[in-house]
Amino acid sequence: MLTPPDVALAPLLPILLVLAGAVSSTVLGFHLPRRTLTAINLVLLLLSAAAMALLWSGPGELPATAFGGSLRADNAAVLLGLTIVAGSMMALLVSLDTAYRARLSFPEFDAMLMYAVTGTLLIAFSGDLIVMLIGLEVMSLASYVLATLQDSRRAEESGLKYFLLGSVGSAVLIYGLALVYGATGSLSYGGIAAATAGLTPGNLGLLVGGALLLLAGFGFKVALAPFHQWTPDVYSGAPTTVSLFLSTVVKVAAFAGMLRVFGGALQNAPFWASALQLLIAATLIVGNAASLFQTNFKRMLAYSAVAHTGFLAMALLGTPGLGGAALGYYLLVYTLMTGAALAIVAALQRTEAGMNISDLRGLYHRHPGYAVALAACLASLAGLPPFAGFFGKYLAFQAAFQNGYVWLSILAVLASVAALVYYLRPAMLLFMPDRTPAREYPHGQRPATNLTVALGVAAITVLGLLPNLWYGWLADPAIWELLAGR
Amino acid sequence: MPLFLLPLLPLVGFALLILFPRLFPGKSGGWLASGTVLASFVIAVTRFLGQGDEPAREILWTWLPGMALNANLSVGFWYDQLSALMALIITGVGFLIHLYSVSYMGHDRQFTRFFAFLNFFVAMMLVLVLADSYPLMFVGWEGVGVASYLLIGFWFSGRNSEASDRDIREASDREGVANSNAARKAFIMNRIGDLGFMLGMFLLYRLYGTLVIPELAERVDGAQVAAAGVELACLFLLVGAVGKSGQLPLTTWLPDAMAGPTPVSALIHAATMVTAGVYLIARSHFLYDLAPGASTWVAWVGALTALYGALSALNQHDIKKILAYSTVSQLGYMFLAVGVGAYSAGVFHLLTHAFFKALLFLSAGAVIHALHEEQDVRRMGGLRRFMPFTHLTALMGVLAIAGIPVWSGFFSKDAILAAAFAASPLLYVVGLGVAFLTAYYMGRWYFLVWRGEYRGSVAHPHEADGLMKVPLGILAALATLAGFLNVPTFLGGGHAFDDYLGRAIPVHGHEIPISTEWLLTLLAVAAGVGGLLWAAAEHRRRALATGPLGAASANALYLDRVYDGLVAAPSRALAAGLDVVDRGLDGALSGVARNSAAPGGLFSRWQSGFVRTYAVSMLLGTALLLGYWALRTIGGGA
Repeated sequence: MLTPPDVALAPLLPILLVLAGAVSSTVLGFHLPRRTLTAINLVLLLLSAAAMALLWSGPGELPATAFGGSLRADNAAVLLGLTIVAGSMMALLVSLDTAYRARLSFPEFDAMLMYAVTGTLLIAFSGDLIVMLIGLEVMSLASYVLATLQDSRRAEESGLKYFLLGSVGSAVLIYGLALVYGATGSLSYGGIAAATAGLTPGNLGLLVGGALLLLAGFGFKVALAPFHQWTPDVYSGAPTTVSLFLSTVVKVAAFAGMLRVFGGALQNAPFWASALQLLIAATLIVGNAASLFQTNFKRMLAYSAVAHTGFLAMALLGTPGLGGAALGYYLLVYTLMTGAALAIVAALQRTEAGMNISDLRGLYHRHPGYAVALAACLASLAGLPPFAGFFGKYLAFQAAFQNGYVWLSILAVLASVAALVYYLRPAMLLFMPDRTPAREYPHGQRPATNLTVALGVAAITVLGLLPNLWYGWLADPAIWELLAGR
Repeated sequence: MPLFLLPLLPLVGFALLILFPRLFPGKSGGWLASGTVLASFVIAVTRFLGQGDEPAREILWTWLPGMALNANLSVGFWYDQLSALMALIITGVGFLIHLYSVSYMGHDRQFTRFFAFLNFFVAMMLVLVLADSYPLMFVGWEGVGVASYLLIGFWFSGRNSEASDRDIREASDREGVANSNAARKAFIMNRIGDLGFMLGMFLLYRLYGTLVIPELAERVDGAQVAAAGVELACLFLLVGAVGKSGQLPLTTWLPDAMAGPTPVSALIHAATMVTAGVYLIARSHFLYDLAPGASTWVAWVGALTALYGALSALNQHDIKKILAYSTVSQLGYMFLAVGVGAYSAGVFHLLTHAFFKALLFLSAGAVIHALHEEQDVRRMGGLRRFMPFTHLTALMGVLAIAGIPVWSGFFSKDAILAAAFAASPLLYVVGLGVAFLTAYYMGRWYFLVWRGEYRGSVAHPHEADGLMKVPLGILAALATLAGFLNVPTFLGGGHAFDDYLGRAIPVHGHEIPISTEWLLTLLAVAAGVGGLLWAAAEHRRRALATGPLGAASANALYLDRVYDGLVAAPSRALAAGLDVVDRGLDGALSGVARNSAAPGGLFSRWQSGFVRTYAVSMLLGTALLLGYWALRTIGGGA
């Protein structure tokens, strides 16, 4: 007997709004200038954020769901979705100023970006593995195109690499997904979580195998070593605006998926955590060690994104209540500080290859505002108080430490000391006296970029001084203990 | 008007001046800074006029988790009679000194920055005195420490670092090094005190579970706490107060701090910041009332410092150093007062001292200005003819500090001496002796600078300009008349000040017969007059240039050298030893570093750029993960 599908509009609305932006950019691209489309998309993103805020469920309320629980608009989804929207808006705002120079200023850029955002929101709102996979693929396909969109060899190389390696990652992920389904007989997070309790040894083997393959697949998406190698090439090869998008929004979405799958569905499954800690250790070492040796600032930021993956993933090792809150806080802060730093690179670079670290010397005397903002971002990335990066790192380390990962926490602390070196060296150069000619792009009005940078720096400063502004929303452990639903 | 405006306005001034100095050409930065402090003063006055008996507490936002009683500690301000008074002193005297500085610093290259720092200082000082909890007070405490550091080292490269003449430039470099060292010395010695403050806070939190001052004041009565714990906490707080107020044994930074511009010496190192220690103890009176042992320590630290400062001031030759040691000594008086429980007397002396010491410093500044940076009193003299107005104001200051009747210092010093007499005769004797010495060295200062014949090199010293005269005049009036705020009962007065402050801090009346009080007063007046007469007699003999005690006094009783021998020399030896170890380690480490840098290079090589190698490492990684699990399962399951 057929049952009518369980469709509810409210939890779908944030995603549909973004999708509407994507479709309208595709269709209206023939008639409207790109700036108008971008403005429309920014408005739609804001509306989507408002729709998410309305979905916030207070204590005791059940979260809204659709499609029989396949789409869950719980508080975790709302919080992660808001982070995604923040990152997407930063990328769009920056593109207003720089897309033209990067030869990216056509409607397809907006369309692809909004499709990718649709996918990321699907991941954050997912209630079963299929929706998560659809979201992941929508996001990935759109971001492959984004990386390739610029008409240059560097971008083509970067996009093709991303696509080929992404296919490998997706294949591994889908294989793991199949194994998990085989072991538990369910695709929904709740069903998997319920089934993990009483498994026969044979099925347990399948489950662990599947979990490890999922870990490898997600490891590719978030750039955990040894699945990280695409990151520096793609981030530094893609246009800077795209790198901004990839390193913030896409990474947040991949972490949202990991949180759903490992913190929700597989939270009682054995072994993945001890495998994850090995990957994190490798990531911390590789990311931080390699960052030390970069001469190009944009590429250094790419490696720093790898290193940050290690720090972020530590939150996954915590107990769900503490770790989820830590990850939620750190992801927003990470988005803001990385976004602001890359926005400055996008504004000042002469070519899309970014600039050399040595070119930053004396920036303070030429662009005092950018120099101070960049120094603040770097200090926050390095985890220095009073900036929010400090609290993010602190919460993530605390989550892992309290759940018994002592040696990993020690390694992470040592790694962040090494990180101080490569973050503070450019920060110091900014304020050095300099008599060589400026190497920044000299022209242009950049009101949108300035707004993005100002908002980002203000946010990381305020969130560092008053972390509860954001953490207060996240702190309720119940949000993160019910990621898979009841 | 809300209390947060008080510190906020100068803070905004600071932000504007430090971030956008170019918006303020000429002297406009100085006027802006003075304006913000004046606005704060107006707010302080309106709040004071509208003040009821009940203290007000205004909470701004939640701050530190858990540090209050079953709640999060919030940032809040506490407005009772004590903080009202301190706010009035800080903004009032602060405004006058800002005004004075507009003229005094007028030719400095870093004019705007100077006012930015001054505004920052005023804001932080207001946070300190208005804070409703020890952690927030500590924020202000550290803030004024930073401001003090910045302003002592304000001429960190000397005043003539860009002069064309090479000798002047080198002298300026030497001066810069000395200034920087003075600033560092102040900062480091304050760190020792801050450590005490922090330990005190930790202990208080451990004992009472809260750091909010009004909550603590309510809790200490009923709480079952070991007496030794309270004593220890009070001693820790005393260490903090000692550091900030330049008391023994952490006193040597304060005379060196005179390296800063003179308005800084007047505002920070005489009138306000250095009295923060007195304020801290008066604010914590409910703790010290429970800790008689610690209170005795406070009193003796104060008495000995008063003596030390007075003895060191006897034979100084720098016009500001004499005043600096005098500040040390007067702060000792205040500690003595709060130590014997006479909080009101201590705070009253704080008030009058703020007036007359700021006045004396500003007068000294006018002299230094007139003589083109000459600071040696032996090369002054007879300035009364050239600068009649400043001479008059300085004379008021001298009479006030010497404790001559009707001038303010007489009333405040008398109250302290009476309280000391009631507590312990020995303390009283020290206090009286110091009063005598004070009158002498201030008389020596006065006669050397203003009387006799002119011995300087500048042909025509000029009188201070109008802008500098206004603060001098106002402060002179206050130094003369402020004593009438608190005329004691036996002189037929209404002791209005004690009544006012008594609403916030208990006034422990001492039981002394009126005849004895008269006797004490006469003795104190005799000491003051005697000291001045002694100085006058020496002046008549033209023997003032060399004061008593000779080199011992000139070298401040060799305390600096003692510290150098006891602390600095061993730590230098230790540092030299560590340096050898460090160099060895360094070699070893750089070997390690060269080897450990290799992985970084290796990782870069791994990053070959070829998609196929990337894909291989991804698949290898997956395989390794699965293999690791398989090995673990076989190992564990077999």
